[in-house]
Amino acid sequence: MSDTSTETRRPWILAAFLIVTGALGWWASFSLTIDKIAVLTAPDAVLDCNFSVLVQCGKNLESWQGSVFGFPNPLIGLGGFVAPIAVGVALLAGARFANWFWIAFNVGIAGALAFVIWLISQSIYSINTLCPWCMLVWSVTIPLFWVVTVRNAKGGVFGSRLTRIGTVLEPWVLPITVACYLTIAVLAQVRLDVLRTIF
Amino acid sequence: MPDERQTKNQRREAAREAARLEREKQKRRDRLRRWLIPTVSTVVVLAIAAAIVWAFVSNQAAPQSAAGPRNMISDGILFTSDQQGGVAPVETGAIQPSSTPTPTEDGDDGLAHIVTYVDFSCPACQGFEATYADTIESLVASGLATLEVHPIAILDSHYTTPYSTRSNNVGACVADLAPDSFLDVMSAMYVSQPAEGTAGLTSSEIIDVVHGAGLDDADVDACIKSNHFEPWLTAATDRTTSDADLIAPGAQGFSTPTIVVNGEVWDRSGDIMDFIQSHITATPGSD
Repeated sequence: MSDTSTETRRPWILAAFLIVTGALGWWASFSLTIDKIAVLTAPDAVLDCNFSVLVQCGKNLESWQGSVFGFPNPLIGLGGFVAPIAVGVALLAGARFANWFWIAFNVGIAGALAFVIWLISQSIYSINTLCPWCMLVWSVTIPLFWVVTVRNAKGGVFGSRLTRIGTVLEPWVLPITVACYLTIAVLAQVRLDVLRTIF
Repeated sequence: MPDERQTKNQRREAAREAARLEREKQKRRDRLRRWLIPTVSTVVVLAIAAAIVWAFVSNQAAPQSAAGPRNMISDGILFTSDQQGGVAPVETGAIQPSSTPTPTEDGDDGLAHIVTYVDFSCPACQGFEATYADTIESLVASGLATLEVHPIAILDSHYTTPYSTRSNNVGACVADLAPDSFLDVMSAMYVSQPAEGTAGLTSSEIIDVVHGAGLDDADVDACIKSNHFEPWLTAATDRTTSDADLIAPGAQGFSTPTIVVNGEVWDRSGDIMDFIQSHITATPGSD
């Protein structure tokens, strides 16, 4: 009896996580969009996100990687980050989704992660900057991917064989996320000598 | 009997309830165990990362100065009588980046204007200091002479670390931040001078020497650690060693200590005090 009640309890932690990370990602995308417009209207505009040669977003926005699909990347985030917010709010309201919905959601987030990994490599190895808003997008996309993927595995979305793996991995989502952050930090440090530049 | 039955039922209920509570407890314990290792390991990894960053940042030497030290506008620090039986440094600005020193204007006032070019790591300068520093200082105190000390670094190759640069940077740091302590610190640096051919003193050993001379100032310590005035020191050393007018009569080239009194370079013959006295035409207390 108590088991069933736990199952049907609303996953409010997951919901809150989706809403917060989605909102942060959307806010970062929105800020980048505004900055992009500022640069387009006045090429020598002073952007709030430009702190130094290393920490800036102007160079990222002007790079070809910043509009890799022919339009500014932040527009993707402006649309995409609405999804986790919507799913989070729906979960809070007690919604239950079909398997295909979770799979589609997971595929979308995996795509976001793949895109973000590519952007990280371009920023560190080609553009040689750390762009504050971009980094906020990276840092929400990474845990979004792990939380949703592990949640889906545990919930049997990918079949019953993966539920065990999901259950085992669940407590490891935080360490995995931290490990991803640290990996990026180390790569950036090795390539850009961030610490010497900032301090 | 109905009563007995009820008791039996109640007992069964109680047992069920106890078992349920035990199961709940076990579940909570399992959950704690499942989450404990990942959470603790996260905290540990973050703590290690923070420690590494902190160690790196705190070991980061402060940026060096492009400008020279204050109170050394002539590349040297000038001391005159404080009119109360002591000596006092003359405060000046600093040589600005890519600017050149402003030589001290010595009036034709009957005083001996003594300029010394010394290297804190040079044994001959140590000997000069030990023999004459007190006499010269009292001469300055009495108002018969002025003393301008130019620390330069020419002996880096005599140590296994650039001790010459590191030790003379101390002079610049003290002139910049605590000019009143300059002569005391210089004296202490000579007393603690390491033997040539060694690594010289470490930065923390140098700081101990400076503290021992009565100057305990975190800014000075930081300035010493970062070799803050190394760019100026290198430039001042180049200016000094390339000045043909500073080669002592009869010498092959420049060396330390070089003593100049009223523009005349001491030829290192005889007693320096006689040489200095010969330039004094004023009488004590005539000021």
